[in-house]
Amino acid sequence: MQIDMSRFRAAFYVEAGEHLQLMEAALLQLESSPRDVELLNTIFRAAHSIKGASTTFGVDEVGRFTHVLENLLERLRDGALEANAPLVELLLSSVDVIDGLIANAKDGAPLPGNLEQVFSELHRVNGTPVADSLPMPTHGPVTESKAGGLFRVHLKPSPEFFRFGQEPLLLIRELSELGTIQKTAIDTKNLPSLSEIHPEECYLSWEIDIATDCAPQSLEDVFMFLDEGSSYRIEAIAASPASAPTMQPTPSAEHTTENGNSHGQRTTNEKESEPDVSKNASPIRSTAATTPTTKAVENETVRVDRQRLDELINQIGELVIGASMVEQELLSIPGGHGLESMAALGKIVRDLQEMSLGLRMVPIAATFQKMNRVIRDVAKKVGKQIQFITEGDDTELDKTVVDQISDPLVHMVRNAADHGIETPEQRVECGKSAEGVVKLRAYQQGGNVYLELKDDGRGLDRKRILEKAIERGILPADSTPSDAEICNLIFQPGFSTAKEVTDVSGRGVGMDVVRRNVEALQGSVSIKSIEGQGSTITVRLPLTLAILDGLLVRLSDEVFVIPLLSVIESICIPTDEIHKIVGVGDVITLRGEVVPLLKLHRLLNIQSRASSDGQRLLVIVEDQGRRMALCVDELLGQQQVVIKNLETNFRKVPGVAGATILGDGRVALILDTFGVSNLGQEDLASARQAVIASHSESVMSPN
Amino acid sequence: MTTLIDKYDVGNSNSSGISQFLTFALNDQEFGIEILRVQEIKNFTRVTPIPNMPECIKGVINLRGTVVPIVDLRKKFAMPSAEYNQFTVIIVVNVGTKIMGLVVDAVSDVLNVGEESIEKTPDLGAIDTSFITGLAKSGDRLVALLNIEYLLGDQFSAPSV
Amino acid sequence: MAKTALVVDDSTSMRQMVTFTLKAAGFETIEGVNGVDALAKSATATVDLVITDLNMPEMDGITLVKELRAKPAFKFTPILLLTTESQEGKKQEGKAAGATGWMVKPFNPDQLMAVVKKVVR
Repeated sequence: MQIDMSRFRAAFYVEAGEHLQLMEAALLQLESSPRDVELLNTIFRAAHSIKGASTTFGVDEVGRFTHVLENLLERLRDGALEANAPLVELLLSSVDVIDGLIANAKDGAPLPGNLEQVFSELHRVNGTPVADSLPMPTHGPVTESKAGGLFRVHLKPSPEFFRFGQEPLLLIRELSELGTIQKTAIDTKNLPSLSEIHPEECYLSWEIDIATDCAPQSLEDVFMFLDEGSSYRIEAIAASPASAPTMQPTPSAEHTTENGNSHGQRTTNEKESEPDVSKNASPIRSTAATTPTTKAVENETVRVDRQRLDELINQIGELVIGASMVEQELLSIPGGHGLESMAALGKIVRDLQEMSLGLRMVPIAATFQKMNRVIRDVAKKVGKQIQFITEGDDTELDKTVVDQISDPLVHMVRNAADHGIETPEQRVECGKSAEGVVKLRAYQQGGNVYLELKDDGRGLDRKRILEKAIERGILPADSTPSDAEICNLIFQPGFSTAKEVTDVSGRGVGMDVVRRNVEALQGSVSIKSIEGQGSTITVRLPLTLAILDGLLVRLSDEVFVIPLLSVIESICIPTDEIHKIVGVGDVITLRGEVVPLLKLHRLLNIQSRASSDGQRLLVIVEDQGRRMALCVDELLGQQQVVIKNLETNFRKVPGVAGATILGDGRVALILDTFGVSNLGQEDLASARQAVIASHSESVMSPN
Repeated sequence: MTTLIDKYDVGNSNSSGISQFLTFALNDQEFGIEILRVQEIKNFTRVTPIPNMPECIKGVINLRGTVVPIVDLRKKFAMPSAEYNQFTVIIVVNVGTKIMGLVVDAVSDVLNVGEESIEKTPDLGAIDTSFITGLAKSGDRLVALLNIEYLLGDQFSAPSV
Repeated sequence: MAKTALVVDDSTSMRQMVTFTLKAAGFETIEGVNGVDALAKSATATVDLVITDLNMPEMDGITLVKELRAKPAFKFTPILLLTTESQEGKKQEGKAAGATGWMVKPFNPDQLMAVVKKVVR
């Protein structure tokens, strides 16, 4: 049968990842309860599963490594080893190594650097030489040598033979495939009288003469599954001429009989020890017993290929657009026929879309759990005591968002542990408890999910930040930024406040990378900090990347979508309330607050039509603490739109978050309000530059 | 040697060294694109402009639910712009994994070109000749064969800041 | 009529591979992710062959074999265990519980079908 094993590898990679996560979580718990049998079982089972599948699917490096790991875990589970701190450390490293090996097999990532070291360490603990590698059992005929002849096979099934799902005819048929059956004799002497026959028991035995080219081993393989009460014997009646001299004493047949006897003996032993077996199995049994059978059915899940799911969701997005196109066309037909059914259909379509988006929602728990390990490793490395608390683990987010928030979160958590929390001595000095607390919380509010990372450490050092910002030229030397502005400086590119680059956090990436990643997910990040008391970083993320509540606005002939989440209000003001401030540009005053006005026409390079009514329509938006007024021509209404990525076929465009397809089939661009405000600042800067340039020119020219 | 074939007989290039090119007109010059690159040809439709892009990027269109960028090849080649008319079409092409539309004056036909009848690119004056893989001769026609990857590759990378 | 196999493994990839192989050989398949799940599903179907992993959460393979054998419908059904070479003792334990045979991981589709052929007509 030609079946390509690689087709199952994708599923293997996914489940291996899950097993590794499970192992890691259990190992972290094992640190505090090293004798927990259930934990040990979980860890062992995960490693065992990875090994079995990896060898089957030809991911041999993983199999070889996990085999050695499994040996160690087996000894741990059997109590021959103790789960002390160094051992747990080694096991955690092993989890990382397997993760790396899988990445290597899957994407060709480089082999984990500590592979050899961890591998030999496992061997050292096991007390085995490193050369010991995974024995690859071979199946099928073991001896290929031609050593056939004429054999007599005695088969005596036990009375319980059928109760093991066995079937004598199958055995005889299998035998017949190995050669020519010359004679079959059924021995019926054990057959009781009809009234005493128990129909589920086997009373017959067979004697089969077979001429074969196969070695006796092949004949024996036929009976490999025979139950212990049954027995068989193979004797050579006449060897094939070629191998006649060696085959005469039929050693294998003797051996088999012996084997059969020992089986018989072992049966009684086994019977005696049976209560023991079930006692050993009891923890598992009780788990099974306490789990109602129906639960498994209720929680039944189907694994679906990610791409297929995405395609489904996209198609449903198209359906929504299609339905609204039909709706618009119906509206234009006089008489209003079909509008009612269309409204009903429209509702179904929207429900369908909501449901489809729900399919891709997953809890953040797995990502949070990963942070456990991060905190633990950092704390260990830099000698800090940190209690890590998570809250809202079951908060759900789009899988795409969850996948992409993991790295930024690791970075934030690392920072909190490394830079935020002080050493135990420093903490005690400040009158805090030696153990610091890092809390990671997730919650949903409106169309957003918030991730909040809070530490009770030293807080941001404003003085240093300000110094650094001036030193790096991020701020002019004479600037007096607000406290919030100083705090948010840490999200500027190339900004790191760590006094020295540490092994843990100082990898050349700063919080600016976090911000960029979060913004790429159409989210935002902000920090609040009280010196000496700690910091709180809040990440806002959209529930899903697929749809967006938008405010549709018109600029000349073009329609744009402003994300509703950033819209505060829209107002109409007389043009004479717009003021020009040098260096700031146009501003309006809104309830006492000065708000910069951005001329979208100009920033988006759209021909503007002079408005003569002396009024300006403004949409007030706020994004990441920046409030601004966007000048538009008309408000067209609110609508849920399906987000289309411009990068799919083109590239990222400054000020544009994506595109969508309107009910009439036209493409409308979705504004990235923060990006637009950056465009505004660039525009101002270049205008300023132009002024300076012309100024200096006029100064220079006389010379 | 080259032959003109019926324009509706659109086949794949075969192994005998014959390639097929879709030919189109641009400012009275003839150009060819490998037929395998061409996804479809559609009438010019309304384009949604993208702000702050080079002049040759007309904007994006909705191609059955996919947002596809549109490049005006006249602008790309710095040719004088022309009014769009009923002959103006968009050739939808595949460039790597991306889909893109090219605005051209009109499509002509499909040209079968044997390897041996493709000549090296001579100096074409104003046009940057690195976009052109060669010249195919067919009777008295001279068709410039375009290297799409090279021509459009730079449109996909973000502008350097 | 096609024969039906109940394939029980908590590993999706292994389950996929086994069911794919069996389907290619003309079997219908039912999948269970652990012993409890398999037991629940076994109640509503006529099963001609059971292939089960040993190490599974909720209910392990050996317990599943015992539970199945206790049901009248599974008294004589062939049951194969998926073991690894490091579980030598488990084969005997499984056999004592009523399993028909076993399959040692790693195995390929041909090896699997060779063993299946030993126990199913």
